Amino acid sequence: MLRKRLVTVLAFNDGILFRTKLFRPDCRYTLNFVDSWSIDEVVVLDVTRPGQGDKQNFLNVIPTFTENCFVPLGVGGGVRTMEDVRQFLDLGAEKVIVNSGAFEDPSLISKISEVYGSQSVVVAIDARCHDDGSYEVFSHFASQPTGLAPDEWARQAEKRGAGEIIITSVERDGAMEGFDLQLCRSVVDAVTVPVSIIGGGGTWQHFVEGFTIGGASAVCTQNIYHFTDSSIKSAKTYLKNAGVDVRN
Amino acid sequence: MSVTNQSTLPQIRFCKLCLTPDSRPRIEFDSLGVCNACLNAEEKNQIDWDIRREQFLRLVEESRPSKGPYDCIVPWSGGKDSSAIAYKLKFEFGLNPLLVTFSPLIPNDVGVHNREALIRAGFDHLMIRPNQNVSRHLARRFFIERANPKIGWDAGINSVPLQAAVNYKIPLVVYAEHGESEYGGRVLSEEHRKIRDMTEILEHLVGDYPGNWVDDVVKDEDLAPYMFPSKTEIEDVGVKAIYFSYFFRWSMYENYQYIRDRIEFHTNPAGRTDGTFNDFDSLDDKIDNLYYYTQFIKFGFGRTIRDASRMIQNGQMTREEGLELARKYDGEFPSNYHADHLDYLDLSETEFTEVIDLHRNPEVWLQDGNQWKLRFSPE
Repeated sequence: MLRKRLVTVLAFNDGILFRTKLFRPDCRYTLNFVDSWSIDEVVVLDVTRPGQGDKQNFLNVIPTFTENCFVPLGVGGGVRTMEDVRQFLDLGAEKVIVNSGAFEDPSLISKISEVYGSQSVVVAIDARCHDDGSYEVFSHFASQPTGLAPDEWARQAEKRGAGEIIITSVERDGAMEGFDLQLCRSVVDAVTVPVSIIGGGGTWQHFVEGFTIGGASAVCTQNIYHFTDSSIKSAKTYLKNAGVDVRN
Repeated sequence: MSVTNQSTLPQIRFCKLCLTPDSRPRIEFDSLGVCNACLNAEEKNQIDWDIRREQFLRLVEESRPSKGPYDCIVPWSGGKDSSAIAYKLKFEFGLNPLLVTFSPLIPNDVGVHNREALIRAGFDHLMIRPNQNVSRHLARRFFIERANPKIGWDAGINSVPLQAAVNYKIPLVVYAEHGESEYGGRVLSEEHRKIRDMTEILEHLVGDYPGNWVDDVVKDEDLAPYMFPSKTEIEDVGVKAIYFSYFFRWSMYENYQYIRDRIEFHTNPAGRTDGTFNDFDSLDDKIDNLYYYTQFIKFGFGRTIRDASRMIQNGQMTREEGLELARKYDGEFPSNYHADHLDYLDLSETEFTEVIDLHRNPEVWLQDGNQWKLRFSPE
């Protein structure tokens, strides 16, 4: 059994680090420090809306991580073509995160998987909860309905070669009131690849619930203050005391 | 590890009417380069304050508890603002407020004196002074990690008045001003200027849930003073928190004039406070001098720009006068209490400087040899 992972997800808007809330850049961080030793994995995402920034500003950020950070790095945001994939991997990313690109061209997942291996392709799924309690996947910064249920889309993605799924609750993004555990569980039960959960983690207890009730392999948070040196130590102690197997 | 990318640094702009820069978190500038604190100040001139006063009196009547001696809670530091409010509520509006204080990190004589001066006018006072080992540990940790020794204190000052409201079953809490409107920030709605939105407050702690602060030194139970009451506890008592500044025209300088004419209010015995021109604001905690200095390190504006902007917005100073003061005092090193700061944070001089330099925001600072230079200043 693999150890459970803590993942820090950092969203960059035109090269500047932001927290997002309901999928919009919300709280801008100034100077920030990520403890690249105790964290298990780092994901950096370009959340710049098309036409509202220079992609180079995001590309300039990536080496900061690859040069200083000795844990796996996933990079995503605007991945549409194999050229986009190559660009991120060349800059040192271990995995690329694909979202809307996989809807525009579902063969993108299998192409990446065939060339670089399934461990290199992570499919991110953004889901909204409808009033009747059903979930639907939305693409393009959660603006376009796809008519697909998250568990169904995750199954398709796995079949095409995705090595990992990241499931996000749009409503919980930035709320810090807890993950959508039911959403997570529905995806975990649908696939055999690891599932990470984002959206709503505020307390260490939320992390525990993400693992134990949601069944996630990794919990992610976008609150940078959860990833300062003492915070990770504190979170991992809490998780261990709650019986979750994490790396020191 | 710093993740700020040098090559995409934006320009810092300063408001055309006051001196506040757009590096102030959440502030918004309009297309003419005017900050939303100045726009708010303009709006204040259009408001019919007599109507607002009537609204306040009605609201107070409606929320008077059916039993118990206290009509409301005033979160109170003993400074000019909260003391002016407490005094008005008691002696102008005939309410019986309970004053609630979360202790300063490093109390000083002038703060103690000013609290005592108001209490002697006839008030009940409740003060929480939390476990000092924990308090110092959190201050040290957050000074090192974020150049802000007051992260823990911020949680405490937000939680303790509400804990008191819940425990004493006092449904009305009267806060001073809505900082986001008065000083520049994000105003979510008109209602947010009037009623304190608990979610907004928690979010301004940028997701800092105090329960997450447990470590080798800090135990679960140590964090009790910092924890917000639960939503159900607040709803059971029906706690409503309002901003005095929505109902009465807000001016820190007028608050000072008001209170100094009524109680024996002392100003800074050293004369003007480090980093600013005034001697009457934010006096009660020795750590504040450091707090505003780190604000300068991180955001590029210090206490003078903060104070002058507030006076410019209220028509008590011209921009030129403010600019002159800013050139003289803004970002001045907090030398008066420096020894206290080092002692409290348990840091050597070298460690202290290392922490400060680590947090210099590259959007704000240029390193030129062993000199740090501001990239932008107001003009």
